[in-house]
Amino acid sequence: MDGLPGRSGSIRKVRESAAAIDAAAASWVVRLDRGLTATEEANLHAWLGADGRRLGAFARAQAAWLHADRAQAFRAATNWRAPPATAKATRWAAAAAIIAGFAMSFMMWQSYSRTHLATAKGEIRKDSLADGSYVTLDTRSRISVQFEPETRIVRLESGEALFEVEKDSARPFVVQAGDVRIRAIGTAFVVRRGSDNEVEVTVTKGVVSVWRETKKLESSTRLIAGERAVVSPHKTDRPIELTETELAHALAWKSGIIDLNGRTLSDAAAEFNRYNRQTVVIADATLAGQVVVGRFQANDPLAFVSAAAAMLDAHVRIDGEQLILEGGPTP
Amino acid sequence: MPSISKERARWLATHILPLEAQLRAWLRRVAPRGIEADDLIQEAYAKLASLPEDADIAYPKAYLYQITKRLITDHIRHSSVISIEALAEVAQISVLETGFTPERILSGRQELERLYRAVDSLPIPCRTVFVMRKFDDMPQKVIAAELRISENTVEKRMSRALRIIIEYLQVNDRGDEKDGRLARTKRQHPQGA
Repeated sequence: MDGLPGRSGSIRKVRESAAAIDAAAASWVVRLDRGLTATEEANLHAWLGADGRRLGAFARAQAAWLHADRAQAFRAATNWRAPPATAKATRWAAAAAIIAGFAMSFMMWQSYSRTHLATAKGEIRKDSLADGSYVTLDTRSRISVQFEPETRIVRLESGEALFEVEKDSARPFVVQAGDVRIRAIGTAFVVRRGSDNEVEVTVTKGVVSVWRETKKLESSTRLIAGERAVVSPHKTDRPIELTETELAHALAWKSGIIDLNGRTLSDAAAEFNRYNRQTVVIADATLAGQVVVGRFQANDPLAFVSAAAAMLDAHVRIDGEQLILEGGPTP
Repeated sequence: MPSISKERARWLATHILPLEAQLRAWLRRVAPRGIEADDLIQEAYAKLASLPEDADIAYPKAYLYQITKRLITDHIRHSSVISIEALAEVAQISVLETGFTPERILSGRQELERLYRAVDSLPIPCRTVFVMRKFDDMPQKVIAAELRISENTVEKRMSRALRIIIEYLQVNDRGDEKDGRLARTKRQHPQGA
């Protein structure tokens, strides 16, 4: 079995079995590991080219070859390296199996999974994570997920996300937002990265602790359901208690809704601009400071500026992608 | 070099190999008669190996299942008698929407246990060369010198070790199937060690 395509020339073409291809692929990978001569390289080329499945088998055998490096994890716990000593072998093997099993459950093997999730502008998406937790990403947000046997780490790289954490007391769930850490076991909370490295944490269920990586865990702040804290590079605000309505507002984005609850018009505009290509511009400083209330579809900024115009004796001018709110009646 | 890059192989090892047993079981359930799961899996790997180097696949599992499903459809289209029913059936196979499922982590653990069993089950001559290569990072040439055997013998034992490991990786965790497959392999490749 040297892996050369020998049979394909016969009249009745016999389809090579998957097992035969796998065996040849394994040999090629081992030869590649020791280094190929020029002739062998050409042969490998020819072999791969003759059947589409061969590249697949070859890729897979290479993957398995690399994967087998993980066997190093058993290095200390086994006698696999010892030359075959028949008398002791069985006893050793039994002990080794126990030790290896033990080592395995405590080891942080390299097979941890790390994955990125991101949303585009205007997109809101809910995904389940490997542990059964859910994450809902707000517009233009990005997280990376890294689950290891003893911790579940999610890095909020930008934007805002709601985490609904599956309970697993042996494996704490830690969200990293800049140098801010939020640790939960089984709970739900929203983390939002604002400007100036501010991180806002709102807990909707259960308890979390919040701290800065630069500080010790002892100095962490405990947040319970219905509380919010803002952590900035300089200080951590005391948790504030939210009313039920405020809490509902904090989660409104999940359903694609912007809930303006006494925010200024310029804040509101900035909020809409997170979601849409069309930008809302408040041209007038006095208008910008006006406080507004209302619920709007996040993807309908025109409805918002029109309502604001009607309320505040202003008008909307549309200029390309800009929705400009100007004071006074329509000229 | 016709070989795939180390990064690609590593990616396959981390993201695809752990899904293989599950995929195989799924294929046995959904693939129409006459289409072999083993063939489909090799073809799927070929597709994955040919992806551009910078392809960023956010959901390896969903992607793998999509590819395989498309391969089944292609097989049906290219078969001499196209069965509309079979095509319709394949169209109905639902592919998971996301790669973030609990099996991912579970299989990571199972994977390591499986690897342990695989290496442990190797015939001792195969295991010795394998472990010298993987634990001590000794080149095959050096292993040959150390054991006073020919390089060709090292290569044969190493290939056999790799084949057995691959066999272990592709079965799901019900032992019955595993034994059947390994027995078959031994019959097919009596040479080696």
